[in-house]
Amino acid sequence: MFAIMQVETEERREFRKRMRAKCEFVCKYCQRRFTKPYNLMIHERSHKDDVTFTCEVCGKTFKRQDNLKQHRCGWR
Amino acid sequence: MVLTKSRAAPVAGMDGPVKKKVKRSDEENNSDLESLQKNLLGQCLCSMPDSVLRKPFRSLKILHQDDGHGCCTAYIANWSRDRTLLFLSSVQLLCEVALKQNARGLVCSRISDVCDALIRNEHGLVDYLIELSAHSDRFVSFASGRALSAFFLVSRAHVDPRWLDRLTDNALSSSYPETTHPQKMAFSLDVIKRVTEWKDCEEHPLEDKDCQPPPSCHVLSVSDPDSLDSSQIKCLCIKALEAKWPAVVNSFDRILRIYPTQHESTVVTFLGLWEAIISVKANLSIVDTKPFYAHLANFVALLNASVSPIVWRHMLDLFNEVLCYGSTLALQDILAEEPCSLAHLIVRSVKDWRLLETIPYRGGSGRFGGGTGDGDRPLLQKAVLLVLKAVAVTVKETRCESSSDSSVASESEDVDADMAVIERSIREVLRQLDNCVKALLPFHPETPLAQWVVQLFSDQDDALIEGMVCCLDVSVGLFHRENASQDLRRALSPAISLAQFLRTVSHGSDVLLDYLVSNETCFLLYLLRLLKYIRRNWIEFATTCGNELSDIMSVFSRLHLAIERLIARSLFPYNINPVLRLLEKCEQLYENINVQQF
Repeated sequence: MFAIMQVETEERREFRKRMRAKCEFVCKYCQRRFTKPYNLMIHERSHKDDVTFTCEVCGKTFKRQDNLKQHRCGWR
Repeated sequence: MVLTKSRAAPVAGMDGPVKKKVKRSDEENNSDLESLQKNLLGQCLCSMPDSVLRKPFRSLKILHQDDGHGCCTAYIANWSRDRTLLFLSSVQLLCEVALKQNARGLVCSRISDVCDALIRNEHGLVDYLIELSAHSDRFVSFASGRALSAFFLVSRAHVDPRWLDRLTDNALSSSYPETTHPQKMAFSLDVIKRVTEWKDCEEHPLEDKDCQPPPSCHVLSVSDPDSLDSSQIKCLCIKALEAKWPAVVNSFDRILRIYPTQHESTVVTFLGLWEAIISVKANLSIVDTKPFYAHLANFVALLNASVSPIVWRHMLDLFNEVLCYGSTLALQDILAEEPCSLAHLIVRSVKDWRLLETIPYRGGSGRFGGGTGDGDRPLLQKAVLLVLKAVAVTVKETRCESSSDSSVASESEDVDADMAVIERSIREVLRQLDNCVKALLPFHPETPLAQWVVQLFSDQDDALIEGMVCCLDVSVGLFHRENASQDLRRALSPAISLAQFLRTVSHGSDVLLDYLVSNETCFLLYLLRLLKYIRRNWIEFATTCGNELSDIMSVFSRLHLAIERLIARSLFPYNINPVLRLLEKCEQLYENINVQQF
């Protein structure tokens, strides 16, 4: 297995280089490259601490819906 | 954080000889620092006279003393340990209040002035804080490190590169002959770790405290977006460390080889820093972090029975972070060389060098007090996840290379041959993993890997879902060939994993929705790939699910409706349409069966 993987011919290296050049979607946080926008979106989510849920009463924002629900219970 | 004289705990015996020689003229008078802390907690320094504010900074003077063992300790002249701690915690508090106020855009002008004076190095604070890393009292060294990291975060772009050089030199400064000073090293590495791990918006979502300056405060409004961005100081720290990194790594390599059970806390700090630099969450550029991937292989070789369980855990955490499968590697078409070579090494270590047999499962902290409890389950989870990720990366790399080759020239037979060789290796690795887990935990001998993975990780959702993604990807990667082995196909069956997962979450579609919306797990990736797999292999999936198929499909159907409701109210945080389309297709396939049956 490793004997096979270690052999890197000139053609293969050339091809990898060309493939690299084709990557268009670059992560704005770490500059890793992806070939599909959806994959970049999934990856970038792991950099962000998304604040997604907003309380309608006081405007406080939460990362998770269950935290918002728990917060709402405090208003009742 | 706030330490007052009455609450300060005495520390036994660590600094006895030093205490006798130090005069403590200020011991009875900490009113300046106490007043500073009180005002900082009130978010405003406007009412403090300038003389009181500057007094502690002006009277700083570091003295050195030989501790009698060839080691030089440092302390602040004429200050007691309590006053030193009070001072350090005040500096930390000052910087943290300044950071929070900056983030909100409103800063007390006096707080801002004091920070600016410290950044201009009017009092030489950084040098004092670094010197205190050699204090005979570890609490002082620790508090000094916390104050320094907070200060660097406040300084941001204004940080003097010479400070960072001094800090990294301090990590390697030698006190004993031919070795480094573990306490100083831990200090420097911990400061860099704290800066690297800093999150710019770190307000706890449930924190209700209102920390506004009082109405009487002279408030400055800050609108500079750079004042919120810590990426520059992170980058400067990493750059400063880069030049010293090979020496740092060598010194820990030596510590772990020669004294595997000593200096544990310093080793843990070092491994934690390494992990923080590599981590996707640090938001550092992959180019800047590249040099930190260079020495990983030596440390895989250090995973053996002589290393303590706590060091094992942190090494596994580091390697798991390098193989960031669910967040990154699974999504890339071309994998970087560094994670691939680590994955190969892990695969070889398991297959040829029996890595799994040396896991200190029984010797770990399975129960409090180190009793003969159930064993160290978290350690086993980390090891299993690492092996699954290494296998998934190896398979993915082979597939990527194969697909790229076959488009250059027709080499599909070679590709199949490659994959057959890989499959033999993978089968052996997974066989050993299965044996290891079943020897340590009471699973039925016939339980397939796809099922026990879910049971093993049922208390850790992020690892659970990443483990399921690995099994799914390995399964899809290996079994697209006609002649793939049947036993491995069943061992990795995605349908068995899914059924066990849904039983674990009591078939609750709300749980799945929460996973989709939060970014704490890679569930979006899992669901997307799983639905693609189900669509392509519907018959196999439906047959494996058997009687549970209707329960599984009803969860999907409820999830589908819940997502649609959120989309209709514009509440879904991103474009979920690819998942919705796949859900619809799978539901159609299920309906077709029902139509055929009646």
